[in-house]
Parts: sequence; structure tokens; C-alpha cells
Amino acid sequence: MQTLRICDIGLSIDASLAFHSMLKIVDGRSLASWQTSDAEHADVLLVQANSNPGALSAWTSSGRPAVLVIDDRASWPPAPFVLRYPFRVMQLLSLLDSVAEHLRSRSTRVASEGAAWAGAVSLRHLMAQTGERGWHIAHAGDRAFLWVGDAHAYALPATLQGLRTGTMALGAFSAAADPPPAAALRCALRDVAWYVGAHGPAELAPWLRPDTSYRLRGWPDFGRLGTAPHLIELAATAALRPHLPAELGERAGCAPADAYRFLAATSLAGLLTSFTRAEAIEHPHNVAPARGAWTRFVADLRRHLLRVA
Amino acid sequence: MSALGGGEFKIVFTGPMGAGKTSAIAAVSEVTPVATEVANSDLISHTKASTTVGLDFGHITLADGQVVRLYGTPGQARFRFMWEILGRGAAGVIVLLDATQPGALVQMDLFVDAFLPLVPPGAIVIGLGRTTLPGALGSDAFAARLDARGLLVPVFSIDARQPRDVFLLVRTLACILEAQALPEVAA
Repeated sequence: MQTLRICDIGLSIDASLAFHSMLKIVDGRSLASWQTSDAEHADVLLVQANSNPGALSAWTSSGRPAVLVIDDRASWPPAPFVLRYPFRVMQLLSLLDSVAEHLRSRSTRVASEGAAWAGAVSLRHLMAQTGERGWHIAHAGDRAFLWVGDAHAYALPATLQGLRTGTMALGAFSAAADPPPAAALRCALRDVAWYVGAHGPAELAPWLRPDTSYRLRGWPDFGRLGTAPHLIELAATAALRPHLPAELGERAGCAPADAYRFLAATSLAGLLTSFTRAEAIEHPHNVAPARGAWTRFVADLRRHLLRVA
Repeated sequence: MSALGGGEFKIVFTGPMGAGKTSAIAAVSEVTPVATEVANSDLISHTKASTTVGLDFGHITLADGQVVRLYGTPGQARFRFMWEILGRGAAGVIVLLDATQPGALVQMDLFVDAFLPLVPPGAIVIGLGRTTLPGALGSDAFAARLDARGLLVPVFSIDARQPRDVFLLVRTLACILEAQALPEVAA
């Protein structure tokens, strides 16, 4: 198991005590073994947002990740790793795992990310081309398995099932003369795009930005596409108002990776719209008055339905 | 019901005749629903043998004993007075539609317009039945019509007889309500 060192600076006494206590609890449950250290030897910095801009700037220029801690009243900063105090053990664990995954893949990110997102990027490019004639084919090894043409996707039933369940990865498309076989089924291109994004890498897609806010402009048809844990929660949160990618997962109560995949899927399917920070702040949205008992009841109902469904 | 201040948590199923309201409530209610069906005398609107003229009623009980009440409205416009009676105070509304029916888009407008003022902002979900049959409109057409009116409403292709599909609609409604009720962080 990878050992990572983390240093906290600028936290309040309560936040620092909570962090150190929880770090002991997550020991053995995280993707990495976490040790505290001084800033000079740390791999990761846990820092109170706005407490020491100079130190943070120097830290981030070294290429090492920083986790920004904000309090309840602070706005969500445009950063990939943000933790709002007070936080729970599972929130800390989820975030530390995201940081560990980020560090683990960093050395090979350029090569692997390019390959991992190749199919999605290629599909996105194809979907943006209007009036494109002819066929484009994605391969799995030497075998052609997905055809795009006539504004639709064509594939054998087993291939579509593989894309739907995420057991089949999509490679880059290339132009081809051959049409799909007669046994291939036709399906909506945006549905294939949804599956590709929903089962994509656990990182923010290369065409999305951590400092940009996103809001749903249309709900996915979960009746047709199928659903998975957290997808409905993410959609309901993303429909309400624009959120930064890291903020969306936190507010929907799920891991950052789930939010990143949701954003990739909705953006590929044309269901997402982006906002600058200023636009996001100004964006109007309807919010029902918060009532404690009501909120608890609704949360109980949602959990009940998740169990019985 | 103390958590709700003595009130009730009510979800209303509505939509035109034959859209599956009675079936949907029966699919998820823990008890055999109370139904007020009579022989269908409006065979022009729909050929089904019986139709709801009063209301359907079922319920779901949560782990702590609290109850979610499910009401189904009559589908015919001549019973519209019941829509407001049942919709008033509802936590949300689920509109069921038959995608093969001519005028399904107009029917959606009718029910959305009738119930939108009665429920909290955004607390509406559309369930679209029979989308795989020939001649059916897809969910995109319904979503686009709502979008043109500035409404961002979930539209799901479902089978109202399947508990899994009906639970999907109710859970989506719960998620919308919960997302709206979470306190906002200062911008």
C-alpha cells in the first residue's frame, strides 16, 4: 500500500483535532496509508482556505495537491479538493481516496488519460459535426464494434449491453467505408454517449473544468437509460443551480468520482450547461423553505425507496 | 405524523384516463389500494373497461412508522374539481402519460398547468408509458416541450405496472425535494 504524508496548516483548533482523530479512524480503510508530517516532506497539504495565500501558492506551484478546508459560511472555491468543516469521517475518507488516486495516477496520467478518454473525446467530436456523411467505427482490439453514422449509433446487442453495463470500453473512432452488419441495432447516439461518460475514468473529463460551474439543462431519461446509486441525487442537485464539479459531489452526498462521471455523461449527452463563476452566483433558482422535520422525512423516504427498489 | 407538524406527506398521481395511475399506486402501495372505479362510459377517450371517478388511495410506511400517502386523481377533465382537492398540500405530483395517445403533449400541458401551482417549486415528475410501441413519442419530445416553457422536469420512460419503475418516479421526487430543502451555502 502506498504511504502518503499529509500536513495541515492554518486550521482552527477544532478542525485540526477532528482531522487528526479521523485520520486514525480511516487508517486501514483508505487506498493509502496516511501519515502526518511537516510541510517540507508532505505529499499533500490540508489548509484552511484563505488563511495563507502565499504558502498555498508556493505549495501548488510545486505540483503537489492541496485540500482546501472551508467552513459553513464560505463559498465553494474553484479547486479540485475541497472539504467543508464540520466534516464526517466518510467525507474525509472519500476525499483522501480521491487524492491518493490522483497521486497514484499522476506519473502516468498524460499517457493513460489520453487512452482512457480517447473514445469519449472522439465521440464528442463526432457528435459536434453536423451534416457529417459516411461511417465512423470504433474498434476493440482488431474488431469493429460500434458504428456511428446517420446521426445514430449501430452495434450488436451484446455490444450495446456491454456499453450499458460498462464492461466494454470505447476506443477512438476512425472513418470507414463499411456500413454496420445487418444484425446491428440502431440506437440514439446520445444514449451511447451517456453510457460512455457514466462508465468513464474516475476523474474530471478533459473537456470539463474544475473552476467552472455546471447545471443540468435536461434530465436524463433514467427509465430508458437505467440508473445507479447516486445518479438521481446528483441530477436533482445539478438541476437546482450551477455547481462546481467538486461541490456537486459533496452536496449530493456522493464521492467526487461519481460526480465526475455524472458530469461526463450529461455533458456528452448534451444535457449540461456551463456557467462562469459570476454567472453561477447570479443564477436564479427556486428553493423550498428548509424545514428540519420535513427534510428528515424526505431523506428517510429516499433511503426507504433506495432499499425497496 | 409528528415530524410533519400534524400534517400528511402526500404524493399525487395524475394524468389522463388510461395512463396507469391506478396500476402505479397498486404497484407500490403496501395495502390493496382503495379505488373508486366504475364502468367506462367514455369509450371515445379510452377503450378500457373501467375508470376512476373519485380517487385511488394507497400508502408506503417508512421504517419509523411514518406514512407516505399516495392519491390518484380521476383522469377525465370533467372531474377536474377533484384535482385541486387532492393536489392541495401535496409534497409533489407524478404525471403519468401514454406516449401513444394522440395529443399526449397537450395532455401533459393540461396536467402540468393544473398541478404546478399546487405543489412546491419543481416537485413534479413525468412518467411516460408505452414508449416502445409503434407511433409513440419519445421522452425527448416531452422534455423539449417543457424546456420551451422554461420548465426543467424529469421525464422518464416507464411501465406503470412495474414497482421498480414507479419507485423510480417517487424516489426522484424525494431527491428533488431533498435537494431543495438542503440549506444553501453563502455565495
